[in-house]
Amino acid sequence: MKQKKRLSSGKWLVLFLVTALLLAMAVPVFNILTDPFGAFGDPLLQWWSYDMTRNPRLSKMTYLEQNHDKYDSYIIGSSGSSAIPVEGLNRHLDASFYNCFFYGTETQTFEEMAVYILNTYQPKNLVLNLSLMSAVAYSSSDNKLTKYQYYKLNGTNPLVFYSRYLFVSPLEGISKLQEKHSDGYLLKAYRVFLPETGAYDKSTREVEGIRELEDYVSREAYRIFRDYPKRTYQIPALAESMAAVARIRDLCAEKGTRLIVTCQPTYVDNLAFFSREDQARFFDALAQVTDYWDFTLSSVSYDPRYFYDATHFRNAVGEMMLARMFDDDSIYVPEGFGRYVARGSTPGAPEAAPLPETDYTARVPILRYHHLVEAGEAGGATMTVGAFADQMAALHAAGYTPVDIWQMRDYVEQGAELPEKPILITFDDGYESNYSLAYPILKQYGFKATIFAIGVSIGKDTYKDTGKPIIPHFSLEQAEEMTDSGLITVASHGYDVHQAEGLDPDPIRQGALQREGETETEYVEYLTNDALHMQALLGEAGKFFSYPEDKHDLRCLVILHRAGVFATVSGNGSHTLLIRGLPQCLFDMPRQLVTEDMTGAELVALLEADGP
Amino acid sequence: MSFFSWFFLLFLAGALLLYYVMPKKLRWLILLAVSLCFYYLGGWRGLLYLLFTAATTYGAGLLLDRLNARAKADKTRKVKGKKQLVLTLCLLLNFGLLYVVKYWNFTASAFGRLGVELPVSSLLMPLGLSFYMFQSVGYTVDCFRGKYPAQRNPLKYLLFVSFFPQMVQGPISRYDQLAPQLMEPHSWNADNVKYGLQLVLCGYLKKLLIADRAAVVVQAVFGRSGSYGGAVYAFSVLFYCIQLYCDFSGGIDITRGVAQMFGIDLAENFRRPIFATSLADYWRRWHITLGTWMRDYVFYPLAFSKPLAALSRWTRKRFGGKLGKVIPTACATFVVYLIIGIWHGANFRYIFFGLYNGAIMTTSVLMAARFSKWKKKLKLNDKQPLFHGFQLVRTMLLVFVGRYITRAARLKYALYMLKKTVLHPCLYQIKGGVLGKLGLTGLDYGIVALGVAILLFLEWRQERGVEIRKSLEQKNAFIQWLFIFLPLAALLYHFAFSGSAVDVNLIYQQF
Repeated sequence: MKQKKRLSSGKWLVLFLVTALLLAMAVPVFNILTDPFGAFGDPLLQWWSYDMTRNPRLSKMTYLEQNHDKYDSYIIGSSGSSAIPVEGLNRHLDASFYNCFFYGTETQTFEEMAVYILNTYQPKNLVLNLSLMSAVAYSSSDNKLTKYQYYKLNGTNPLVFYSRYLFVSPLEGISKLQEKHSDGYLLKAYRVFLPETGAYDKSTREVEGIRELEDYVSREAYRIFRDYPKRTYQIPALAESMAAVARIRDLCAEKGTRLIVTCQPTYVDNLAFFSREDQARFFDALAQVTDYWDFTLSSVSYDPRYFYDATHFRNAVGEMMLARMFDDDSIYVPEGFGRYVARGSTPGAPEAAPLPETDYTARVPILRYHHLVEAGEAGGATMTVGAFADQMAALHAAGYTPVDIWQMRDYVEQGAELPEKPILITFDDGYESNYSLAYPILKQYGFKATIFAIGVSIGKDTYKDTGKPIIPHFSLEQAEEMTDSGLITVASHGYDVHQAEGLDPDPIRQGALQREGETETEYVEYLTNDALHMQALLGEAGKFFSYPEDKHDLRCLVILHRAGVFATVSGNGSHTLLIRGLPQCLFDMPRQLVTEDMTGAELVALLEADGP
Repeated sequence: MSFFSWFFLLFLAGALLLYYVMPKKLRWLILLAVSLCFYYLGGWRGLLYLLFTAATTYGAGLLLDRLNARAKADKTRKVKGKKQLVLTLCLLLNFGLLYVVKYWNFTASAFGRLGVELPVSSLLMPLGLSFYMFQSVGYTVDCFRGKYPAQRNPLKYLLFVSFFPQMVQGPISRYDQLAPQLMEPHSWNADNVKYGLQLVLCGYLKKLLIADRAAVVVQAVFGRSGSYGGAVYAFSVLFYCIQLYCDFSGGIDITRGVAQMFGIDLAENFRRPIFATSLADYWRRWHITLGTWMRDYVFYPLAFSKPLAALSRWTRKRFGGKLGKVIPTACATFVVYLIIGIWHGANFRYIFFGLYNGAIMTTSVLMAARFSKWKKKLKLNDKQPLFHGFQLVRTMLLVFVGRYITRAARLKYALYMLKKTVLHPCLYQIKGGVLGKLGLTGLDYGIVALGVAILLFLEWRQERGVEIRKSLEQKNAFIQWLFIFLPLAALLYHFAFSGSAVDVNLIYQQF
């Protein structure tokens, strides 16, 4: 007997269609909410740093839709443009810049972006940063989701545009949620942008401690400079690209927007991808279209240390560009860096030679002392005043001129001169003996020195509130007396990150590292406050930091840098290398530990052995 | 056009809409237009092959019909010779084309090895060529035999040849079963659409969730011949069996489901081959329409051909009645399986595959009487669960070994892998976690295992006479909705999360 159906086939079909429709909608709804490429304005997470990393050309435009009222000027260019500092431009042009750079060099996208921004936001200024690569290909056929452009820029059908992001694999959104959940303090490969400025987040690269060239190119991140690839590029898109630049120029004129065109600093081996003839053609053709600043080739181009990688120059070089363009004397600019090309001229290919390294680098030994005693108790880091006096006399006789961190910073940042045979004398911990025993001898020779004081121990002869006796530390008054002399700089050894086993509650903090049981957020807050505390106590000198027990890591350094610290000492080494234009060389400068058993002559011999 | 594209789903929805809104009398024309459009979208050159086969077999059918009519009208007229000539010409034209497209390069390569250089063909195998060609040739032979009158309307005949769901991978339908359904003005029937959708869903699940995952393991192992122990080879062949069945039967489910939505019942192509008790039984359950085609158009003509009749007479004289009867049957069987092997591909390993099956089948035919005696002596019968289990396992093993031959890139690799499976299983590789390095995650293995378990359960129920779709209708609405939701959710999961499917094309569409 035929049994009756409990659900008619018609109803079944309706149920099927409704279910299929609802399920089919689940993916787009999830994709809109998580928005891994920033196509929908990231409604839920507002994690623009992530979105821009996935697709900068799209996310930056949707970010601006929500935030354009904060900006009145824009930078357009390829990823090299990231290093043009918006803060500097804001300062010089009294503007509020946003860096719209993206991955890619095609001029067509530059133009589409420029036209969109000019028509939509009517900006005060537009910086267009170009390179020879802009003439290699006018447009790109790369249609990946990571490079797909915002539909409003190029007239793509919005349905086509949104359907691509609506039906993308939810794995993308899930990844974003997972990364968000496990995200930490340090820079991660999945979020490399600073959404507020549009620039790359270089927080880790800016503190990496740059020294000798050999050391630099042996690091994994810079190995490419050891054996730079050899390629040959033609510039078939020159005419198209120049025509695009001309259209941007005309639209800027029509909108009353100031257009600044720059050609970015390029590593010399990268420039060699192009023939000299093509280089000349490019710069001559650009000069027919617009005035521009050309930074393509200079002495900087010959030193990889001014570059993050094969094609990207450092933020510090971006500062140099602005200093050159706006005649800012407070920033070091090497001779021959940048040329201004007036429209209608024929500048030809750029020419430059490398500078001798001695012209822009300086070796500075840094001595490391601790506690001094009158006599008898010396050993380890403690030294008798006699030995110290002998060493100072020997340095004096050998012609060394002790410098302070301000002189070193001025050398690096402004290109100021250092005295002959500079040396930095430092003391750790801030013992009273530094005031009573070392300071008189330093005064005798007119020697400058830096003392890294532990904030919480200043003026103390017992350990914090334990009552346990410790070696006495100089007081704030004594510190002031020393600093007032102009010889002594009292810098930071941390306010209270220098902890002792048995005296501080377990587990103690090891150096400036995260304490066991402490969350990352607590650690960041603690170390930031500690650094700010020392700056409140010591002023600008509180931004020069010596790690307790020399224990630290990259995260610690980034936290300190964000809290204002501009120089640190770390590890052992006979000298440090200062490089003009690269403030990174002030981080983790190595020091020479000086001990009781080293005579003045031996110390000088040690310093001399390593060369001037 | 792939069954697994969004475009196909849209195409199908449009075709259904068009079909059911048109006046009934015109519906077959819509089917024809949709079918030609489907084939054209796969490349216009393919359409030329299709029209060639349709035209030659249509023409041959008409001629044969006329000759049959003449013979009927005047029994004294001898038309057999002419009929044979027409049929032979038709077969030569069509199989000649198939040979050039599918086998010529194999021939050229074989001659090349002997030092004879032959030109290489650059013709690409059009979609489903051998399926619609076998179907059309079957029609011509039936006309030759006078089984039914030839179709006079060329468009109606073209629809029979080109009906789009079966263009991808069959099944090979018979004219007298399919054509009347195609021409019949089907009314909208929600039952048909529902059953069709259920079959289509089932096919998608088999193909996308199971077969494509199993394919990853198969590709990983067979792509790197010589680097694994025998146990890993056996494991991958097992996965190949799963892949092949879910791929082919899944594709057929989609084909039959799509046809059913138009109110057309296509011939069954699989009947749970996992439950086969002998290799012959397996081939009666696997790719059924090819098997029956071979039976009707190769086996019987061969078995009753003059040479075999002569052989039969000779063997009866020489070996006595029983054996004399069996030997011609065995010969025909051997030839059929050899042809099936060659049909699978232009390669020595397929010829060997045909020989392998033919040899086993022939032996079983020759030994059938003796086997019966042994079974009697041992008091065994097919209904005993233990003996039935033995038969299942034995058949599975025979099929399993055959799969080494069809999947390995070359025959010698297949033999090497078989040897390693028997002599050097290297079980430590399995323990050492090799399976985790074959491209599938634990979740993927879980999906395959669960999918196969569900499939086995459903097929076991079907084997016991349960009609799954009918029995589902007796469940309450929520359960029925679950059986909508779960497959759709699984498919959504697949489309949304699977980036690992190696190939969404059906294996059998290459034939």
